[in-house]
Amino acid sequence: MHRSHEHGMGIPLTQEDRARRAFVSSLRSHVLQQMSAGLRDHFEGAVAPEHAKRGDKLGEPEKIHRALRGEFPFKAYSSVRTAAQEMVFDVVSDAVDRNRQALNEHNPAADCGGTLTLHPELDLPVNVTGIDVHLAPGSYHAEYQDQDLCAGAVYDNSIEVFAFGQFGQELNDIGSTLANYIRLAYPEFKPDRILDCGCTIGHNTLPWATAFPDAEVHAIDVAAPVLRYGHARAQSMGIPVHFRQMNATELEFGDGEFDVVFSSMFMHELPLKDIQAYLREAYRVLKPGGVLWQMELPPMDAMPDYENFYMNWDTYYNNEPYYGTFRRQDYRKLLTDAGFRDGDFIEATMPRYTFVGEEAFKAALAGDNTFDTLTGRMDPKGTRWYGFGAWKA
Amino acid sequence: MRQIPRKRRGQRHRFFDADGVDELLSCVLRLTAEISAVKERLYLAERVLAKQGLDISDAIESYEPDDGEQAELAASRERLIQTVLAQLGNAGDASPIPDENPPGSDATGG
Repeated sequence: MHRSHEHGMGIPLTQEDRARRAFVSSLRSHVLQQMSAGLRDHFEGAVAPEHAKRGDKLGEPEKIHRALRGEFPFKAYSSVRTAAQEMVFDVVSDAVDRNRQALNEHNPAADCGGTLTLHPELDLPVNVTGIDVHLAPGSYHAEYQDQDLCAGAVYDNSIEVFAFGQFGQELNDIGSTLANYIRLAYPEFKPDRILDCGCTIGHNTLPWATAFPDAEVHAIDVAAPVLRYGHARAQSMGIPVHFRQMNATELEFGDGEFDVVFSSMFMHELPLKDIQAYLREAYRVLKPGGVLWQMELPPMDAMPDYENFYMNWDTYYNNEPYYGTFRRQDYRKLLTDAGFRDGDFIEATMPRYTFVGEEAFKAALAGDNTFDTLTGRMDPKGTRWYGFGAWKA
Repeated sequence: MRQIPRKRRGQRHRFFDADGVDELLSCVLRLTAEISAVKERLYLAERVLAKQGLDISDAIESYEPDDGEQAELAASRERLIQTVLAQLGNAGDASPIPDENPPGSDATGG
């Protein structure tokens, strides 16, 4: 029987499971390509000119949102996109439930040196427990039996369906892109200890162990089930990572312990005060000469008006309520407020490493940062990921 | 041991003004997913049989399912109905979505 993933935590899928998953991936792709293009055409061809006639320039995302909200293409796009998002979780949950026992009783693969340290007394933050993030029923922390890891399996399976191939074969393109960016952009930099904050199942953590095989790689998250799953998944792939249950706003590490602190699509799920606390903690645990880097949504001030509205759809409708506030911040100021020096700020847009390959990736790094309609979007035409960070003096 | 929930907490967003249109659209998409899965299975079945030299279309026309098979088909139809109508059951368990002041946010920013 086919399995959901090549790694040891993959679950058997019936032909019907696969057909439903394929349908939802196709539906998502259709919404994000065709319907999204139709929505933009309607805005540019009808709504914006109509407002312009009245001398009304639609710039701010909320203004564009208000102008489009009553229009049929927006209603259709949003309604179908919401249904497709719900279906992502629907079509994976049956197979995970069916394989509950096997998943939870998995035989640990040969020990490759990775560890799992849980902290059952940890207070889970309300941004994880208070809402079903991404419309995922149960969010990412729920446990349905003792020592459960099924929320991790749902996550791994759902992002596979959700991404319709755009996160790469092992769902690790964001992590691969950043790890290889650091390896290639700073050839003299040899990190010994690397920390991933808000790692979920570690899909974007593992490429760091591959890009820097001599480094010790640590990964933290507040949710136990995704860490249990991530640990089992990494062990099955023979990649040693140290997973620990910990809140990025209160790192249980000493000062100056890491050469790299990074996160992948993590900060935009946090309330602003938690973003600020995380960055202060990241600064504290970095060694002087170490680097902080976030793979994130591009800031509003770097992106065209319509893109800002389009990107912010998720904060209005996909249970990611903090995302709009995050994108409004001056990212450079967030870092200087946390202790980094203004002149040490760095940012880049990068093509997808696992899609373009090493040579094209290297060539792209020599060019200027490009901010356009493909920046931060999942698009078969060639997504560019955005990242920012700073060196610690 | 509990099942993974199939419905999220909170009310669904309504995009269309008329009552039920968003839910109806969701139903149609779920139905389409099921049709897609069935079509795919039939397609594969025909290919598999053709590879074995079997033309099954006449045999399908004259086939009479027995009681056990009838029961299996009935259960399968019930599952299809539950799947297609999944969203209609959502009206009773709504709690507000924290749009304006999400939990733990501070008041600054938009």
